[in-house]
Amino acid sequence: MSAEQQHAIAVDQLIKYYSQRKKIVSPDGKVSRKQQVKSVDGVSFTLQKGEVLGVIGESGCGKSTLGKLLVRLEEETSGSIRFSGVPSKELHKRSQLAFRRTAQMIFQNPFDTFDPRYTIAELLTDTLKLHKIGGSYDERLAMCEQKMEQAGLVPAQHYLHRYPHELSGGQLQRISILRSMLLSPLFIVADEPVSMLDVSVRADIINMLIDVCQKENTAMVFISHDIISTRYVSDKVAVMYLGRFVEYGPTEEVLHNPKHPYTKALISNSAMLESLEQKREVIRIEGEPPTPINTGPGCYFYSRCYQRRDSCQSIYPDFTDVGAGHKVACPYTS
Amino acid sequence: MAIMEVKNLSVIYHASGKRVAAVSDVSLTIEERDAIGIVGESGSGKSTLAMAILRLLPERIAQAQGEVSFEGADLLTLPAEKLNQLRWKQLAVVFQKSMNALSPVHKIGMQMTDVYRIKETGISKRETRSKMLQLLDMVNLPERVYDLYPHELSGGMMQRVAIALSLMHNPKLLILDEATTALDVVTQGQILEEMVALEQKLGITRMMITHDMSVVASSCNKVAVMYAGRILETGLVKDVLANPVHPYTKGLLKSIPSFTGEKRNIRGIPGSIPDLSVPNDGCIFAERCEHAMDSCLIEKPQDMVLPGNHRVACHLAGGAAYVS
Repeated sequence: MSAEQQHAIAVDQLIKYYSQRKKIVSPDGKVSRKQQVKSVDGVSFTLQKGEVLGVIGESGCGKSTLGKLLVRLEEETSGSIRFSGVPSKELHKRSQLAFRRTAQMIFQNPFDTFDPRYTIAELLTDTLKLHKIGGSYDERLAMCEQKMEQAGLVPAQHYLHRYPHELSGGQLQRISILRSMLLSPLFIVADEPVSMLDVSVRADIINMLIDVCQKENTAMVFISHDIISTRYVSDKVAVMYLGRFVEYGPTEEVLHNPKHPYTKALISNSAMLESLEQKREVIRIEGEPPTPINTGPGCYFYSRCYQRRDSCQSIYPDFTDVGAGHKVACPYTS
Repeated sequence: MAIMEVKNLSVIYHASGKRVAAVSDVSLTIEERDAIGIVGESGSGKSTLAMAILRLLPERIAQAQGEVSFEGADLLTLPAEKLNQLRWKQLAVVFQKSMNALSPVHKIGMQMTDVYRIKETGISKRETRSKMLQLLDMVNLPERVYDLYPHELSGGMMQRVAIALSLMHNPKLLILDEATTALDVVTQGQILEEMVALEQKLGITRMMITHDMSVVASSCNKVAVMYAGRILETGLVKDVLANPVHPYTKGLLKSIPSFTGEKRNIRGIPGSIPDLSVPNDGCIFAERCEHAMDSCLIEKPQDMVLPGNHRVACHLAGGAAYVS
């Protein structure tokens, strides 16, 4: 087996541009010109089986677009995604069902995930039926029941014959995770799976997510704006800003020894219980992220950076390794 | 000096033949220049409490009993005219979606001056404008915002406008109902920091409603933990969050992951909030409490006062049965 085949997922220079038509009135009449919104702009990473990558960043930085690209809910502009060495495009073309067995997604809002007209039993067994798993309805139902009880929804009978609106957000999110994991996918994307839930149930959902991924040896991309829960879930962390990774590396290394000015600002601004014991200094960054349309040649973070220099404006910094797989896109890290 | 005293406040919603006790028997004292955080799960009555204090609940379906004294006046019985004089000037509020209240067809500056001139009559336009620019500056917005429409601003900027609006008459008490919850981490961090600085400058007392313990930890000095319409534990932030006594507070804190140190096991609180239309004589948390005893189901716990005015409503607090 080659090195490439060992990776559950390998993403190389993934790019997604949305085109936008903007009418610009020039002196010689109306001119229609295409603009490109660079939503995801050259993202590369690899994950082994069972590894978890946490993607953090502000809203509008392209986290969710990246998630959708990975499970082919969006078509990429260029770049490649490979699952165990097989290009995802090919896999998807060959058989959509086979692709869905490889890559699955968990969405943010569990109330929107399910069709309100079906019971939980129907929703879960339909997935198995589509993939021709199990011989009869009863057999499939028994399989679902077993999986539910393993995931802590005890007794399963209590939930199976209810409709989605009869369950709480936490219970629904568990079922949503369970349904995505029914097919034992190789890779899963969890897009803000806990941000809609109450604080008291978040912990349980995070634990369940970690458990199922370990049990099935599934690689996961965990998208969140909550740095602290990301720390619990992931092995690696990527910080995203305007469609690019600005920092990438092992979780503890990136979060406790951040190098990029954006990561530092992000961490210093997030409210934590620890701030009770020691007052941390809050790094101020100005304004909101700009829209990724005319990004210019320089560093994207230039306009908000607190340690910018003139040289940052002329060229986008390289993604350099500062040791132990910790990569940063900023030359002034010391 | 206490700026606001809430005594035995109860709110009952009458809905489809049921009587839902959303807030029951809440007593709370807010001292001047305090920043008190009210935390709890969704559905624990935090917002109802704030709305009752402000008398913004629909009178037809919600019935508030008790006493809310604010500078010597009982807000619950005050005639409407008197209450109107207090609102904006003494009492201001910012809601989670305050920005949605901005009219999309008027410029920010015009909307702000309109509100300002309701209370402050006989002031020239130029003066108002300079006052509004000063307000915008206070919340770190550039001057150009005055001439922009709401759609030209981002969510964080609009929430800042809402905060500026609430501060325009230097209110004594500011109530923030999840005012920063919908914002991004960076924006939230900055707004919180600005709020704390402004309070020190203007001498504002703040009541902050949130479900996020970490927000309370970083921006408040007192905290009240609410559950199913009752306040279970209250005191200084450094006492309550560092040494929680009530099992519910402990559970809440255990469910929050920490940023530093070892990844200890995080754990949620099993179960969910009880049906509040069913009268409950015992401790409201007994159903989900792992330390519940027989007496918890029968008798309602009284407030137990620990050093530092740290109050806990739990039978087990201080009892031998609950040493750990």
